[in-house]
Amino acid sequence: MATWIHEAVRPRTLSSIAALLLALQAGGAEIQITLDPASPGREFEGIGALSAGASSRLLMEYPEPQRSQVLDFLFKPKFGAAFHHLKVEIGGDVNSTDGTEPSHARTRAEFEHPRPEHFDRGYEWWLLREARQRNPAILTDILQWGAPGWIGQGQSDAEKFFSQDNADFIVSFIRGARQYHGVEINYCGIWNETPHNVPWIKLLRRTLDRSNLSRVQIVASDQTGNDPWRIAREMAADPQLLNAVQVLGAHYVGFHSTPEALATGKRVWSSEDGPWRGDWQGARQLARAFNRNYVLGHMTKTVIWSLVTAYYDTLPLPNSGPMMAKEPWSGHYEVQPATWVIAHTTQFAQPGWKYVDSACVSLPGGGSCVALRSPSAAEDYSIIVETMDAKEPQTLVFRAAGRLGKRPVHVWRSNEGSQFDRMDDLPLNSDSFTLRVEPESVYSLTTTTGQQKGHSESPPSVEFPLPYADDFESSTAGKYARYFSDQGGVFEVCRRSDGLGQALRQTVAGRNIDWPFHPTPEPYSLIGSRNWRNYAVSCDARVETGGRVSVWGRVVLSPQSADPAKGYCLSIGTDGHWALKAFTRTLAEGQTEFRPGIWHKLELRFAGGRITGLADHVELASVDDWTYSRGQAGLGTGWNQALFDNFLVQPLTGPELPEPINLAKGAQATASSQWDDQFSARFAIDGDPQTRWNSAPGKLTNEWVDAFPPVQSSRMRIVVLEVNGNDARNSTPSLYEIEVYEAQGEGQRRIGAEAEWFRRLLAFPYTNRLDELPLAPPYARARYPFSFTYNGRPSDTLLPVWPTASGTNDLGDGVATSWRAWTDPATGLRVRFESRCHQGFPDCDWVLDFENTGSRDTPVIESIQALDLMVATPLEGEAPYRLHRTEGAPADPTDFEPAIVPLKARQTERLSAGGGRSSNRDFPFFKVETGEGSLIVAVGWSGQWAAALNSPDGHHLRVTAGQEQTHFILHPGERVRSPRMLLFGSGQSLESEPVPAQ
Amino acid sequence: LDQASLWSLSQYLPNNLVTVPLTRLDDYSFRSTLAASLIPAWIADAPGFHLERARKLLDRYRAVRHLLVGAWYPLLPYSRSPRDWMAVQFHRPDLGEGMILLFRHAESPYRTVEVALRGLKAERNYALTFDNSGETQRVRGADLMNHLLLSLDTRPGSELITCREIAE
Repeated sequence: MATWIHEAVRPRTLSSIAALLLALQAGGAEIQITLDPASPGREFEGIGALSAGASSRLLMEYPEPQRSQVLDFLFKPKFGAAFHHLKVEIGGDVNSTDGTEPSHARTRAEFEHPRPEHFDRGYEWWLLREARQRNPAILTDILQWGAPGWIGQGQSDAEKFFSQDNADFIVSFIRGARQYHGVEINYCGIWNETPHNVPWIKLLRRTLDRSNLSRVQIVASDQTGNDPWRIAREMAADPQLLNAVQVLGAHYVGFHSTPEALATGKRVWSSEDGPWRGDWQGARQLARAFNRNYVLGHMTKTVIWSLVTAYYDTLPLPNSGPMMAKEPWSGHYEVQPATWVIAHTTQFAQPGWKYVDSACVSLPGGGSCVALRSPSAAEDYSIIVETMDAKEPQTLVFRAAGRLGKRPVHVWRSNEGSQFDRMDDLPLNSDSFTLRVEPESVYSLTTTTGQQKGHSESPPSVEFPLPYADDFESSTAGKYARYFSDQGGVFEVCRRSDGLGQALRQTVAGRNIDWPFHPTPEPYSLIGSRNWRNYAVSCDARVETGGRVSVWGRVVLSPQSADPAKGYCLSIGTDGHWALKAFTRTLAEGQTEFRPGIWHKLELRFAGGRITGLADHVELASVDDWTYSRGQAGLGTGWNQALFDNFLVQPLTGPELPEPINLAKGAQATASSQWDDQFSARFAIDGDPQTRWNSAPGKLTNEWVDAFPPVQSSRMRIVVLEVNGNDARNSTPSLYEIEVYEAQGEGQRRIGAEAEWFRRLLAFPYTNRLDELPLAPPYARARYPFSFTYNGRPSDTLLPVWPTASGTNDLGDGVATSWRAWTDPATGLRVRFESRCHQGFPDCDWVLDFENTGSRDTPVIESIQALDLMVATPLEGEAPYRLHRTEGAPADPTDFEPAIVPLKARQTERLSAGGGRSSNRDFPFFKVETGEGSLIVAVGWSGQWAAALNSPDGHHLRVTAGQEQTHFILHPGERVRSPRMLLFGSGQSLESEPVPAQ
Repeated sequence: LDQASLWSLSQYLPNNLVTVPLTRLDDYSFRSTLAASLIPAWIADAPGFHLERARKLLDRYRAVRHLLVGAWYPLLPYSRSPRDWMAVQFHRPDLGEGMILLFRHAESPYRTVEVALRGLKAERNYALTFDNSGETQRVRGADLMNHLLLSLDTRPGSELITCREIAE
């Protein structure tokens, strides 16, 4: 017993001491909890939810009655989640996680000449109205993630954001809510999870006050990370700031505030919290947060993100809400366990009730309890108990000190098996009542009535149906087009200037003030199912003056960065340049006529591995690429306005690509450190994208996860460079999932398929003579016929886990090219291998290309060997291989003199240019005699090349060649190439083979 | 040295990419520099320049240059030794025609050398025409690819032998 008493002691909290006393009183058998209304307690301010980051995008599209049913589950008192508080994003035309939310003043002209329709953009106004309609007492709250680019002046986004313009922009939002929607805004934040600016907080206060909005309270400053309550210290030292701010709010604080925050005398909130999931695991964490944020941190309100999962699965942090409404085409929705755990508080206490601190305690056997008292004369009580850390049942004895009279105590319970079940009322026994609580459960005990587990029928889930067409005629001008989810820019329905009905317009013509956690990508908007496979997506498009338009397909992911979507994109600009890309990799590009001011037809077709792009019904490119086998469709532009019409997605017939198998799933994994057991390395290979590994607190650099897939002989080390996300843990390196996929269409595991691909490449496409090349697939050392070191790690361990794409192109006249590219998802380094073969010749030549497609300098790239082969066919006799080398030409009688050098075990033969002149010391072409033929190597580089040949064991021969020394970084956008390497081989003996006719 | 450089580079490079200048008018020098491109580095207006000889060499070059872009075979190993011979073969399988360049270095004590031609059709007959004497021999391909005994009486000495597939 002493053990659990000891564990209950958390010295920083009064409630822990109370728990200790309770435990001592209980003597191990029962836990005595006194419901003493005279004990102090803060005012409860409610449980809230946050509609932001475009997380509610699809809800508005729901048909009736399902849309109203979902809204009832969210906001209707004593029905479902019954949120007390709704916080919404002030749209800034920037991506704030799962898309862009439109602003009510996109330009200064719109700001100075507002029109009613500007205040009907997006869905937050509508959501505020619907929430207040269901619960007139609901509290409303607003916060910015970014802002339109016209706001403010200065060089940096921060200078522009913290401006009088922006304070006025906020005031216009608040006034618009009242004027056009009848909604009063109660609270206003600063800049979500972005360092605040004290003078501007005061300026905002003054601006609100001058605008007769003194009743709007400022919440500051919604920070996360290592010091989320920093503003409390600044308020203590600055009376003006203290007066300007009414509420302290911080994000993902792990149940704790600080003494400084509490000492300000202000109300203290967990102003964004949540497990980002609605299943029972998410529900467990919510139950903890709602109770412990008060018990341990004295926070009186908890606001969770997101309000509802009403966004596509392809977007960041999928399924974050307590219920799902992401199928507006079917009307299907799901009320998840998290909804009912929220109801355990929201249906039992209202803002204005007071905590009864004598009964707000940590439970000695694991869990917590809060008690609340109504301010009404009836003096109602509700008690919420959660036992999420408990291993054994606990018996709680509540002593009511004569306050309950003869009213019965009603009990509601949730656990993993069943949620929000009404239990038998508790009998009052001498003014006390006893409850035995099971582990991993939530209980609400109350003297109030009227709670309800709301119910309505949801239609079955249905895949987004094909074909799908939208001519935008049935949408409202100025609003979104149905089901489109903007990830950059804002796409709004408009009247066509030619009078032919309506079209869709991308309206944002430049970068805005971004949320630093998610720089906005170039405009694109997604629609449809991530399970669409073989289809054609087409549309009419028109660029008014200059710029680009694009059509997208097979999009599987929209990254939380300025990168484009992970999928295919065909873009065409008014400069005539077109490109077909897979993510950032260019599959094909060229020039065509694409004039501004007229409508053009764009189309992308996907059939198996064949990707075809067309403009005005003319084929621009048709390539083979297996990177993305399925995914959503979409439209896009550059940073320019453009129009779209007659959007159409039609199914095509094509081979069904095999479902990729994540080879890393189920592998063994270890890491350099871990945050705790809930964030260990195994969560990076469990196949669940909602779980992740995090390094230990303070471990910020060179953190790694090793995975040992069962099919790979060598381990993969994933070094995590990106720090992403916005909770405290995510301020350290994190890794959601290591994914190593089976090669598409090959029917082989990827590792084998890589070797197979190179074998086929060397034979591709006209001759099988290169099958006789004395290479040793799978190569004993190298999987690829080249190598390099990146950030200290060899390419053979990196490339297998980088996303890859490949393609071929028949150039005619017996010449064919074939390429493969890998991109480091962490740094954007793209490595492209492009080879060329000639019909009738046993040759293959290639170039390696390194390009920084990221936004920061790359780590060091070094030791590039454009050729790195392992041969395993030794000669019989003393020397396993013979090198036929040729002297360079130093202008003496030995110019170009050949020599034959036996290559013995453990000796290295080196060749190189002299003084930077390609054939001064050694000639850059050489031959290797092997037991099964000869191999000719040519290094095409008019500079300091080098080659080395080494047989480590008398059986294998490693041949490397390339530029002699490489050690550099690439700035964003920079690109370098390697020497061109030519391999020429035959199965015949060396001297019997001619140099071919030209 | 010209023979040696051409021999080495021809291992890797087509003959139209390598060349060495021809400064003299003798057959040995002419044959030693035969590549697909000929660079006459003569001083044609020098006193005593043998213009007719130069014209004859150019005519000879024009007559065989189509063979120099054919497949290249080394018939004897590379050597800069004055005691050795060198020999290479060009062949155009598309034309059924080729040639042999043969060199006896200045101090070679050997009057004959045996080589085996490459790339011929074993069952066909070939006409071998020897530039030095103007004689023509008719030989089966199989025999030529087995062994061919060649002689040069002078040292240094050289020979250019054309080899043409002939009708039965």
